Parts: sequence; structure tokens; C-alpha cells
Amino acid sequence: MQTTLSLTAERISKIWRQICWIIVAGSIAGNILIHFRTKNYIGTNHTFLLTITFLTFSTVLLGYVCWSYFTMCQSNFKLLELNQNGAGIWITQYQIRKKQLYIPFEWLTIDQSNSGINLSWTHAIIFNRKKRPRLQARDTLFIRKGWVTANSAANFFNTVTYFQNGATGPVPVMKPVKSAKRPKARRKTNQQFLLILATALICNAGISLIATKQSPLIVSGNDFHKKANFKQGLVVKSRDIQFKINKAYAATSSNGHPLLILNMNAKPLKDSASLDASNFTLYKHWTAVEENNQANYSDAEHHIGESIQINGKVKPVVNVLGNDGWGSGSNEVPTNSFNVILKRPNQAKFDLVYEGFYYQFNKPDKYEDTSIVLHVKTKSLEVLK
Amino acid sequence: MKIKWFLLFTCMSAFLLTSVQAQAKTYRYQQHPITLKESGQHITIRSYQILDHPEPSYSYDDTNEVAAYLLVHMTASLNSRYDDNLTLYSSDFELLSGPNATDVLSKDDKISRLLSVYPKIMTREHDGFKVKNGHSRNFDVAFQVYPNNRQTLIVSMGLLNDNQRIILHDVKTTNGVTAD
Repeated sequence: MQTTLSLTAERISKIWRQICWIIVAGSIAGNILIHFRTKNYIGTNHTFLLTITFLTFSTVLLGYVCWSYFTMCQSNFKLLELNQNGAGIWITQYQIRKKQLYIPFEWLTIDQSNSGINLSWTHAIIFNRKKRPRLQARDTLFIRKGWVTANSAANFFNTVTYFQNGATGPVPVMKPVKSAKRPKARRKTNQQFLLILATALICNAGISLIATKQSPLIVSGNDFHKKANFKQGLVVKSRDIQFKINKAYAATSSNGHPLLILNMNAKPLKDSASLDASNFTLYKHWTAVEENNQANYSDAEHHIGESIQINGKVKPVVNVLGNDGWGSGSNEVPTNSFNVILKRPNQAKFDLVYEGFYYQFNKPDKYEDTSIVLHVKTKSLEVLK
Repeated sequence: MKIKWFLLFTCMSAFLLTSVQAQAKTYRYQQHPITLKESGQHITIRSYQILDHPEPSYSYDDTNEVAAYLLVHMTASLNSRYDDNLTLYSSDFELLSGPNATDVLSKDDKISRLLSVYPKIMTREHDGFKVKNGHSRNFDVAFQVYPNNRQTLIVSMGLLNDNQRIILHDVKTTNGVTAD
């Protein structure tokens, strides 16, 4: 007589491992995807939040899968069990908590097919946390032959049928079943597997941190320089201000040197936000060291009154952003669109920098703004007509 | 039900707030005097001029020396049953020169040459400029501006301190960079 039916340990742990790998691979792939999708969009903490949410979700999923696997391990993968009187069967369900269903033979139909055994019941009794019985509606369970040890499904089926018919007649013959003893080596492979899994998760966290570029652990100051590739109509946020670059133009000054003219709008994200021409600088190639040395190529505060050549005529640029303390005014963030003029080098690409704080390899304090570095390609600029 | 009332309240308050904000008016100066009236206080913008001479003294704020003085000639009067005096402060006037908010000039800005030509300028030191009820007084307000920008004067007046905007000089531009 075979009164219990257990899942094969090897088979289940193999499936478990496969699920774990899928989750880990999905998590890594998702992070890479987030990194590439949000590379050109610079929003405050946007990437960071997305990554953290995704990572948390996949970790919870992984934890859930692992937890149910270990509850299964603890009860030796037992799935079905005949009760002591031979009047019904117990089904064990493995979720976060182990659940047990009792089904008397009157409610149970059991069929055997080539691929496995199929259980279906009209009602079932489930015991809740306070050990009180509750009735559950109809359901089915299909046990594949592959999930259990060879012959054990057939043996169990024969036993149940024998008891269902009132335990009369000849006792069914049990076919030989391989012992489901745990091989010692498998425990070791499980440990190895967990080690690999942990490494994968750590790598994953690393990838997401690299992807977000907002690692709070490194205090080099560079974390407060957001980098983006310039395109027409770009929306970029610093901590205090949201910029919308309506148009960036390539122009020539009345003296004949090339200029960059930015037509943009700014929206303060904080009441304390302030903006003036001295915030905008241009570097041939921006690096932290260059900004620390203030080795910029040009700055907006020295090109405020600039005039440009259009079709041979010289015209002054209107509505140019002024300086702090200009006419003893306040340097609030402008509500209308404004222009910023910078001298640009004769090269294929350069860096436009919004300097939200005075950078000396430090990080901005709470009341200062963060900086933005825009990589600009000269061919992406429009020419004024 | 509570949520319904809350939403209704929010909508109503939003509506009230916007209706209060909508009271601020915008005028356009077209070579004719504009009179702003608020609780018996009348301020007339007679004219404005951007001066070629004298020029502002050199400062690091304006290294290219393109700035100029903008002068607004105004008349203030009071005609009220309740008040004896109208007191004007230099902080009641602000100018938007393009994107740049600018305050009334101060004596610290080295404007003695300007003051010698236009002595009626109300500086920041000249606070508490009084007009008796039934009388009117002429005065000027001066700002340092970029002459090519759109110039908008903001006057805060009346009991509610409403911001009245007067577009003195508008710039028509299609590309946003140069005037048409």
C-alpha cells in the first residue's frame, strides 16, 4: 500500500532553479532596458525610482518562489496523503503558508491517464488559521507523471481506488518505487546555486546603480552634474528648475565669431529658485577638473548685448537673460521665454553647462541647485534665417 | 459623500482663486497716456523714454555696455472720501525688461548725472512719496534696461495691491531671437 504521493525532489529543485534564473535574467534585462530607455531623458530621480521599483518587484517575486520552495522542502515535497481511516485524502498546497485541503471520497473523482492522474472534487474542506473548517468550491488538480517518481502515481491511484470501493476485494499489487532519498551531493549543488544567485543579485544591484548614475556612496561631486545629449525641444530638470530648450541656433556675431543662441523657457520647481546669465557656460569638452578650474570656453554673462548677422544685416538679440544684480533687480526665474548667448568653438561637438552651484569638487548644499551638462553636436543646431 | 463635498469645495476655492487673480489687468501703451484707477488712487503713465544720454556707468553686470536708462513719466493723484494722503513707495514699481525683473534705481547706482537732468526721479531712498487728497503730483521712475527687450511696467496699487501690467515697448519676433 502506498498512502502518500510526493513530488520528485530533483525535478522540483530543477524547476525551481529554472524559475529563479528566469527572474534574475528578467531583472537584469529589465534594468538594462530602463537604462537605455531613460538615457536621454533626464528627470530628477526618474530612472532611480523606476529601477528601484523594478528591482523590488523582482526581489519580492524571487523571495516568494524561494520561500515556497523551502516550505516544500520542509515537508518533503508531500502532495497527497490518505487519511488515517482511509475515508478521504489530504492535499497540501504550497504558497507562502502551507495550506491543507481535506476531501472525503464522496466528493472526489480520480482518473488515471497516460500522462498522469487527474483529481477533481465538488467540495473540499480547508482549515483556516484558527483551525476552523471552511467549505471550498469545486476544483481540479492534475499531477503529471514526470513530477513524481516512476510508478508512484499508479500505486497511489490503485490505493485510493481500493479504499474508495470500501476496501474490499484483493489488495492491489504495488509496483516497485525508487527510494526518494536525498543524495548528499545535491545539498552542495543547492548551496552553490544560492551563492551564484546572490552574486547575480549583487551584480544586478550594481548594474542598476551604474544605470541610475545617482550612487549616493560616491562623494566626488560629479553626481550633481546631470548629463544629457542635446536635441531640439529637450526638457531637462535640475533640482530647482525645469528647462525647456525651444530652439538652439547657430549664429555669427557682428564681429564674425560663431555663436550659440538658446531660446528656452524655465519653470521653477522650488520657490527659492533663481536664474541669471552667469549660470550658463560653454566648454570645449567638459570635465570635472575643467569646471573646477573654471576653464570654460565662454560664458553667457559676457555676451548679453550681442548682435548677430542675418542675411548680411546686423540685428540685436532680444529678450536676453541678464545678470544677477542687474539694475539691482532680483534674479527670479523668468516666466516668459528668454535667450542665452554663448560663443561657440569651431568644432563638431561641445558641452553646454548649466552651473547650478559653484563647483570645487564639492556637492551642492541643501539650498543650492544641481548642474546640468548637455552634449551638443554642432550639426544639430538650426541656422537663423 | 464626504469626498463629493471635498471635491466641490476644492473646485470652488480653485475657481475663487483664479477669479481673484484675473482681476490684475494688462494695458498696452500706445503713445497716449494711460490712467490706472484703484480705490480713488489714480496713476497716469504719461510717457516713457529710453535715454541715449546719460548712459549708465560701467559695471560687471553689463560688460558690453549696452544698457540704457528707461524713464517713465507719471502723475499720481488721489480723489477719495476716506483718505487724506496717497503714499507711494518705490517698491510699488517694477520693470520686466525681457526676462529680467528690475527694481527702481537707487542712489547707490551712481545716477547723479541722471538726477541732475531729471530731478523728479523717485529713487529707492525716496520712499513715502506723498500726494494730498484732491491734489496731483508728477514724478518719474527710472530703471536700467536692455533697450532691445520687451519692457513691461508692473505697478502695485490700491487696497488689494493689485499688480497692473503696462506693456510699454513690445517686441514682435517670429524666431524668438531677433525682432522682425
